[in-house]
Amino acid sequence: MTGIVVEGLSKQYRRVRRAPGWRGQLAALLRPQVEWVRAIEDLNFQVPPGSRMAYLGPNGAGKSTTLKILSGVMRPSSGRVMVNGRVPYEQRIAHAQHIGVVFGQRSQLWWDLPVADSFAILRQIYQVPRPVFEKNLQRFRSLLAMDEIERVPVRQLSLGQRMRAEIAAAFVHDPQVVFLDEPTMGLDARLKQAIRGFIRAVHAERGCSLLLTSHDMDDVQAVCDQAILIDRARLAYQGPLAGLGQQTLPRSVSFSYRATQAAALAVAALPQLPGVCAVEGEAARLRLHYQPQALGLAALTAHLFRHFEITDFSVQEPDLDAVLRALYASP
Amino acid sequence: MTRYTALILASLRARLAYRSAFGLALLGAAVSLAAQWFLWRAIFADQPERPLAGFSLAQIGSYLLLAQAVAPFVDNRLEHDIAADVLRGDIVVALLRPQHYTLQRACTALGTALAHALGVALPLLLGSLFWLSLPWPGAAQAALFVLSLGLATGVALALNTLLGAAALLTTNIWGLQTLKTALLGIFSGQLIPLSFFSPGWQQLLDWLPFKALVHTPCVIGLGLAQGAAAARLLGQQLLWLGLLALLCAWVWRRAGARLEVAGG
Repeated sequence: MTGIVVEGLSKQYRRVRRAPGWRGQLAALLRPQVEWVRAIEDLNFQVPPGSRMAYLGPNGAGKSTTLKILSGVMRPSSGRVMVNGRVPYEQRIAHAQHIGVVFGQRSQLWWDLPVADSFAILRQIYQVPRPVFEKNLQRFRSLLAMDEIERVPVRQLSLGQRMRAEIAAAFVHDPQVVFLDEPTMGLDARLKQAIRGFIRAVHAERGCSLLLTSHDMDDVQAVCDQAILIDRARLAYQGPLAGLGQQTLPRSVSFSYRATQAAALAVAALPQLPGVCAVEGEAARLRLHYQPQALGLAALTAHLFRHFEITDFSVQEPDLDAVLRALYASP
Repeated sequence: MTRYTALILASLRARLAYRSAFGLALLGAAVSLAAQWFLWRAIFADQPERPLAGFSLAQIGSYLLLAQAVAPFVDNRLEHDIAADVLRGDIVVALLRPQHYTLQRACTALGTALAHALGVALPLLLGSLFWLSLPWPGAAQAALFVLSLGLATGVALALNTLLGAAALLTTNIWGLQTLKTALLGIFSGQLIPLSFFSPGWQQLLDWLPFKALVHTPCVIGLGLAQGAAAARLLGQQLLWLGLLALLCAWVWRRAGARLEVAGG
């Protein structure tokens, strides 16, 4: 069985509750109050090999916990996980050979050594044959403009330079599955684009599976075509990225029209049209929100062109940020 | 195998990147050595010719010097590194690599020890040999010393890895470390040769692993234990190394299941 299979996955953490201040500290020292926190609960999903999967959810939904279990660093409380035929936390070392991981906040490079040396050490740790290693490095140099940083010790790199090196480091051993946890956090627009381009290019060449976690929806849209959404420790959606929330969330169109008597009557009648949920705007320019499952875009457009002399017309694509905001907020 | 030697070299080179640190560390070691030497000279002041507990003043000097050379291999701060890894959650990076965690840590500690040995202990040792014109050891004696030093290093790594496992239970092992440093200072032979203890204590220390760390390599390096006595000491070191390594493997296998990785 290849790809990623997650069945009934749950994880609870033990956490000591402590009231603030010295009294709370003392109380916790004498009699710690332990509570169990559910990070993920009964999660089921599959990621076919070669996928470009986004793993989405609000802060604290359990994304990092899932990634830690999938990368073999942590054991689940219950449930079963298989990644390319291995149980990650039971065969951690064999598993680690075939995965690449970027945890945005943590460095896997050697702080005091030049970037090139870190890569040479990784080559030995993963036992990458020298020709493969040289070829990969050559490719990374051209994709990420790494020439300028290779001789610089990691501690003297800027965040953007270091992140480029971190991402390349996760791919140096030709992993079958790559987990990317916030790979562009804190980077400027140009660098974000370079990193997205790099991930896309390497995926196209190698066909590895990608599992990307990010709060930057441009990252997600540039890299992924599938999505898993978890919310409050549970699975909320799995399917094509484009399908995320689009059946349920209102969409909108904007248009300008020649103000005539007929148009004024048509505006007054608009709220009665089934599927229309809100009309906003002033004279001669309107924005209309509608439910896509009750009213198709084609029917709505036909209706508007029949009743108005349209001078300008635009359809607002639902943007992923807005979709997620709405999904995270819904009870 | 090269998977791990790469880590030793990486750690060695990372340490050597800070040149000025070595100058200061060398100075520190020299000052500490001088202080101990003058203390012992005062102790021997009344009877410069008569040996104390089997040591002449000159032999004490050589012992202190060797103990200083052994120190970097024994004070590897491995348990501190493990605790810091657990506390800050950096252990996750080590666990993402296709290597055993404890061996990764041991290799890194070994690299640090080698850097200190090359940058501090070796210059100190050579400098003293020339400057104080101490007798050079014979080839066989030097070889036995290196063998014993290797075993002492192994015992220290195993002992500290075992202590590091405590970090998984309590997260912070500061108290445990303080206790260890105190015990080691007295019982390993770092502060004074173990022959200064009363016979009862010596009997007890013979059964504990601490003397395998400093006492054994120093005594063998000085030629105070030769032939069968040296073989017995080396055998004890080997036995402790095996025992502690097995215990380590057992404890860490159980500890692994308890591990929670801190931080998002």
